[in-house]
Amino acid sequence: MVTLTTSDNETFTVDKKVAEKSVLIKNMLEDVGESDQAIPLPNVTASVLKKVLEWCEHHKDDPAPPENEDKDDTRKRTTDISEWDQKFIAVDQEMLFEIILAANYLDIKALLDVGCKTVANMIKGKSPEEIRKLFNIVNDFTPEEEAQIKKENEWAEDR
Amino acid sequence: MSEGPPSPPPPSPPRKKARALHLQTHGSTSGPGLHPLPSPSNSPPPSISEPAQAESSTVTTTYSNSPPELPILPLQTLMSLPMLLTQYSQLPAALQTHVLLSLLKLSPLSVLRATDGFVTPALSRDFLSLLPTELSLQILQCLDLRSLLRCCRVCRNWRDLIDGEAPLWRSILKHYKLWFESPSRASLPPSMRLSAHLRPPANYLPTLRPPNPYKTLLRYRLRLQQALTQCPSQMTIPLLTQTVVTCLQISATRIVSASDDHTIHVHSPIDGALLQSLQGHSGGVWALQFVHNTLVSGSTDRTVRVWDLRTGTNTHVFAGHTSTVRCLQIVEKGDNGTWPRRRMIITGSRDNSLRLWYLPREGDAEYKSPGTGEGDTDRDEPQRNPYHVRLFAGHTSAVRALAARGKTLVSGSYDCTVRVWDMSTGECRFVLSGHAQKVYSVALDPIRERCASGSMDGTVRIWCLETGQCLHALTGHTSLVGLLSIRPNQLISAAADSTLRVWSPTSGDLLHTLTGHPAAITCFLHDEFRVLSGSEGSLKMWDADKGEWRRDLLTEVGGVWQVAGWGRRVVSASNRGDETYLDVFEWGGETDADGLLIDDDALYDDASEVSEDSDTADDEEAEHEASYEGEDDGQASRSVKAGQSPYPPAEHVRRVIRQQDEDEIMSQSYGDAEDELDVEEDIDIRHEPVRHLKAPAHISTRAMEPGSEHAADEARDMDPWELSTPTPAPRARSFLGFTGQSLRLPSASSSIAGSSRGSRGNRRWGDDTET
Repeated sequence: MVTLTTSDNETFTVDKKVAEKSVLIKNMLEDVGESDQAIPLPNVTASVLKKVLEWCEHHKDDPAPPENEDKDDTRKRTTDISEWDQKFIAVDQEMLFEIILAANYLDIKALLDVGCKTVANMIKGKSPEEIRKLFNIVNDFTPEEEAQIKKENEWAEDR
Repeated sequence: MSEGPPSPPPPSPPRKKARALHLQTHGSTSGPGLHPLPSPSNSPPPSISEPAQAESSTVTTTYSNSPPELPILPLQTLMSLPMLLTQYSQLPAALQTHVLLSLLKLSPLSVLRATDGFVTPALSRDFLSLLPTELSLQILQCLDLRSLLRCCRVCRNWRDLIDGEAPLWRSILKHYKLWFESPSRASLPPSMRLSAHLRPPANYLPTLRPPNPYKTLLRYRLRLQQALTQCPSQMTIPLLTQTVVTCLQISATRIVSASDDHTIHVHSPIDGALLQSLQGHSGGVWALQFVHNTLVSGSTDRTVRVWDLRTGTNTHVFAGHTSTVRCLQIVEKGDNGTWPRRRMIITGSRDNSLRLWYLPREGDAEYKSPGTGEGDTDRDEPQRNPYHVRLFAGHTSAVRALAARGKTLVSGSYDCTVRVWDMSTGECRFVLSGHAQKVYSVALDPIRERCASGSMDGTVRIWCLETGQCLHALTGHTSLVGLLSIRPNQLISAAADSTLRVWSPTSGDLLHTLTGHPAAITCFLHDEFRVLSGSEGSLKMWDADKGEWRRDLLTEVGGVWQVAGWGRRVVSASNRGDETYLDVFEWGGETDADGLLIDDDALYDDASEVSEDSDTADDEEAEHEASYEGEDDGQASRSVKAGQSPYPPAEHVRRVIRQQDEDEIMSQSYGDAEDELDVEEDIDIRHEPVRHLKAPAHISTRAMEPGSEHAADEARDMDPWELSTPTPAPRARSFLGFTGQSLRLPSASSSIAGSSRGSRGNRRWGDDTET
């Protein structure tokens, strides 16, 4: 078992296998060796870590992802997310935001992937105005600029 | 924001509370009393908001009209409110949640709605702006092109992020298979090069950063690709001669054709008008190439002539070859400041030799070798000619074909060998033997450090430029292989056996055989977007990837002598009856233009005010031309200097880029200083002509260390999202310094092997494009 301490001083005790979904924790464990000491995670709050661990628990038996992806085409054309992950990630934007940051910090590639794909899926198929509304973004273009930008970005509408 | 007030109970900032609420309402642990909370999507806003307004207005009216009703609220209640808030703020989050939910349960719809209007935005996150750049990029990588373009319209921040990310656009280019590795892009028609897209349209709003050139390039290439599937329009220009057209090249504003009647004609590709007839050669012209306004031609009269296309005058005549000048190429400046430092001319002749010359610059004083008449050429003349650099002797028979890039020169000869030379020293590095008969064509493959040769013996051989070994002997053609071209994924040979063969340049495997011509292939054009071939009777267009015939552009003609292409235009020269015609094919109609495909009105090179003959002028010219979709080959496309950038440099660009990027900008300014030095050096050289066969002084004094440059470039080439740490540099790079990509048109003249090219990026940014 591994003990983790969050930024707000909560401790979580989890299976080593679960904790090691995080490459950060895995490396720490390797560096430190077997120890009863809690691992401090100063960049993660309890509520977020709870969520992240939930994901790790569910995916603890997943095979390790392939190391090197095709570097030539880094574009991820498929934004498919498994059903469980979809339900898991159906949280408010703030939480999603925090999960992405945590997954990045903890180095959990697959979770980071789910997070990024989720944001991408939120964007897909929406008009600029709908996107603004969704993310509470102010349109800071002048009307002239907006017209110009519309023109220069309309060319793939039929693709 | 995690710092709360220092009160003892753990305080939560407002949005944490809000989140707790939100989670609770959605989570499975939520209490039974929560159901009345309407989800925002379930309540149709318009119908309900009206009553809500009415309600509030009613309240207001009541309030103002009858103040006495107010006391109905117990004063005590009112007084207790501030206390309530204080108490609430001191509760632990869990309890706050409970209290707030209880309050909400007691609230009418209108209050809930108001709450929602507050809570939802509070929970919104502008992911792309707030996440670290590398994570934002990861999100963007998941988006399709259409969504990306829509994202560009959301707000300034998003647009700057997306448009500023050159690697992102590169990856999309790759995705659409419209990314061509550097040496290949170097041979692209200029409109397809990045440099052509550096400048936004003339009327671009100054308050906006221009779109990413890679993005514009993608747009252009997608359009071109799409247009090429259509049927082109055709314009026929009668040449009013019966002669064989030996050379053909096209740019945005000129079609240059030469024939065995000694004359070079310049036509407008737009209306077909005859612009100039260049007369001076006393024999047929068998080789030519032009860059900007400078045309070089070689003839059976043994001379090399340089012409100013603005005036149509013959400014330079170089004597030295003792027989027909059969092939020539303008060698572009080297990549990253490597040799050559200025444009050169390499010529191959029936006299078994090759000669290297400096390309005169626009405005250079005229120089005409004396005694260029028949038979009386002074043998010492080349040594007096300040433009002559050196002689390459060794072939024992006529030099038929050449290809040059950087220092490397490959020549094919009727002596059945191919020679590899170092042009900077004159050394013959290899004599490549293997062909059983005369060599008719050569091509360079700079990606793989190889070259290919085609021979009368029907084979194509691929040679290693590092060891001189023959790596593959490609067999299959049954007669003379007269034409060769190499692109990153294809080696194409065209032969007298009426077929074209598509090979893998790596393995030498035969990929496709293009059959359909009734007779020997006399000319062909091979670029990233198309393959065209001409023979007796027809000009055909192929899809070389699939190995399929696409369409016939010309039928029922006599010989098709030459074909050359530029962007969406292709020109061919053919015979019909006794007459010779030029046919200009154009893909994509006017309606398609919107500044995207070639800017037809850009009669640019004639209008440009080119200042005195310095390389800086070349650069400026290149910039100008870039804004008009570029001129033809070899446009000097070095870095667009930050200081000369047409975009407002400091304020709004810097606003967005980060501190680290400043270093990049600094280094670029520094680089500019270096460029100035180069110019000076070059000027010196002109005043002090370099002696024949001696390495020009500037080569040894070059301060550049190519090795270290290269390492730095490699470091820059790493894709930022592959790194674990944020690398904001590309953003600055993509806006402030663009590369020069360069340079050569697929050879218009059959005497120059199709893939010979002189690429030249700029040393700081050029490699950005050359991953």
